Amino acid sequence: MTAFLQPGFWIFVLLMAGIYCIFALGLQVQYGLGGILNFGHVAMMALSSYTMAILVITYGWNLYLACFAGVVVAGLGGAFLGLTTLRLRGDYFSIVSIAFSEIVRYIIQNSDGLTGGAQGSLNIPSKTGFASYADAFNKVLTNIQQAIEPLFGSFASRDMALLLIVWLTAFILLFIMGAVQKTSWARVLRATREDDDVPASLGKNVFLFRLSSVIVGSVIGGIAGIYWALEFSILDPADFQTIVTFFAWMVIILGGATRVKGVPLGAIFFGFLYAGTRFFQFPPFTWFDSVQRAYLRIMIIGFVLIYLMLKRPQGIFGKREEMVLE
Amino acid sequence: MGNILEVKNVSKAFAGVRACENATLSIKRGSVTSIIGPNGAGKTSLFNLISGAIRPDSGSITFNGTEISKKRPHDISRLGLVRTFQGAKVIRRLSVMENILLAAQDNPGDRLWRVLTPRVRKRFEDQAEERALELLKQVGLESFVDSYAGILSGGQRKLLDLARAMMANPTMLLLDEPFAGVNPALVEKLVEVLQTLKAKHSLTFLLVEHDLETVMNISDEVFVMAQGTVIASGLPDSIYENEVVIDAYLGSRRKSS
Ligand SMILES: Nc1ncnc2c1ncn2[C@@H]1O[C@H](COP(=O)(O)OP(=O)(O)OP(=O)(O)O)[C@@H](O)[C@H]1O
Ligand SMILES: [Mg+2]
Repeated sequence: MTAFLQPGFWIFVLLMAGIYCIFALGLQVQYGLGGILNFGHVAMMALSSYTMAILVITYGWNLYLACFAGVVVAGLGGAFLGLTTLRLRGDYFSIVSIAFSEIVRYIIQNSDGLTGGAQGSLNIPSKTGFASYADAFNKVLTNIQQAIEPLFGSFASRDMALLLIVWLTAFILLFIMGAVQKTSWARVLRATREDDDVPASLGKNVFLFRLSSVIVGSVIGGIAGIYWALEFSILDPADFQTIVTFFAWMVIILGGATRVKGVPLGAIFFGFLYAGTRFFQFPPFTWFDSVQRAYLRIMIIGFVLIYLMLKRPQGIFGKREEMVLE
Repeated sequence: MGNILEVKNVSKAFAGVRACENATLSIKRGSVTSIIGPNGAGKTSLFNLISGAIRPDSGSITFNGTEISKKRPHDISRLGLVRTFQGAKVIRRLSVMENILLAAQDNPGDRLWRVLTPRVRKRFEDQAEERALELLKQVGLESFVDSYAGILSGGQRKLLDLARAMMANPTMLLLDEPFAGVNPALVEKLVEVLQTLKAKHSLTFLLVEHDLETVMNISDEVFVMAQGTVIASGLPDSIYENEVVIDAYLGSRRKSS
């Protein structure tokens, strides 16, 4: 129960909500506009974070250059996924996208000489002997921490510094994607969510619109991966399981998939829901051990989600007509 | 003048069903041409072949001198050959205005990087909206501008479909049963709209239609299809006299009239 009262814990919750906000925004571009059910989104986090870590640790790249390269690789991952499978019908794409993210994870887990394998990024081959990629960034965080000390006092932790950066990034991205939502590019995508023939008959190359939305979404997912890596300072292939993609799905379903502004609220709501269920340390929850309880948490979140879907299918912020009109 | 569209010996089979079998027809520039024929004759399939929605097994299709039988639908549309769909397809969860704006050609906002140039986008959108409104007025849907297209009635959807196709600036329009399920007064109005459009934009129309009276009224030429093949063609009047057509399509209707 003690963590419940510690501000540091809630700062961590908000920080993770920010990372999930960015991550889920990448899904929103695909689903909220084009109706594309990408269940392999977590692969983009894995690709960007591992690319960054390997470039820094093994090849001694500048951290920021490596972050950029990581995001580019995530975009390329999206391009690969889209080019190979977007021509399939929607539900097939979803299945293949899960397979894609699982394959990425297996490759990472089994490429010991490159990714450190199952032991994670600590095992990435390094010339200097220290498998750490976040050093340069930690210095920046320390500086920010000192700068905000007068304002935040004892709350000016490393997490607090990163929280500010993450949410600043999130708001910049939300602003950009909000503008994107108003373009005719977005309008064509919203049309393809219902029908391919009409936009094609009007001169729109539907495939290219879909592909570009998957690439944009993957780049945004890649940015989330970088922050994930910087927050935890070590990477583990087990961090990038399909459940993470579904957490992002919960975020956009909670927020209302058709509106960008729903994403941060969905993310915060999800963050508190997920963290809050940690404190179920009373019966009947105490009848289970901690592993079982972890699954129980996810089940409870699932029930909350189902309840919300029944009461408010458009999410907290979505437009009901856009969900129910036949 | 010459022919704007030439379809030569086009065939397409679906797992044994011969939807089109050596279909051949040419459409004169600036004309209104109709295709009639029994259900399942292959009329819609022919439209799908012309518009690139399906690829022919054999044969050639040229539009304005360009071979289009291997082109994709959006490329064909961009050449100025635009179609509507049987039963009218509207995007239900876009507003009526958004539906029409979809058809605006060369919209800079279709390119993602244009998010960085809001002024360029807005200038184009404003002009497009003006034009869209004009078209909506022509078909009498101006009071629905901001409604979701999903609330429109069947006939209204046809009007929207037509206006949207017009928005794409076509030189030739393929209309699949534009009058089916539309009340007589509205058919009259639609015909009027078509004729204004034809006069104003020197458009070529190819339509599939079962409403014979209207077909005979508006067509310069009529093609008759049965079992995937063009079995007759000519001036509207000569079609009524054609024995083959009477057997295949008109039936006793001819005798009673
Ligand atoms: N995608 C398809 N797959 C299989 N068969 C098809 C397909 N499209 C059309 N057909 C078949 O081709 C034949 C011609 O169909 P088509 O839709 O072209 O007829 P139509 O002349 O437009 O008829 P109607 O007047 O009823 O609209 C039909 O027998 C139909 O079942
Ligand atoms: Mg038909």
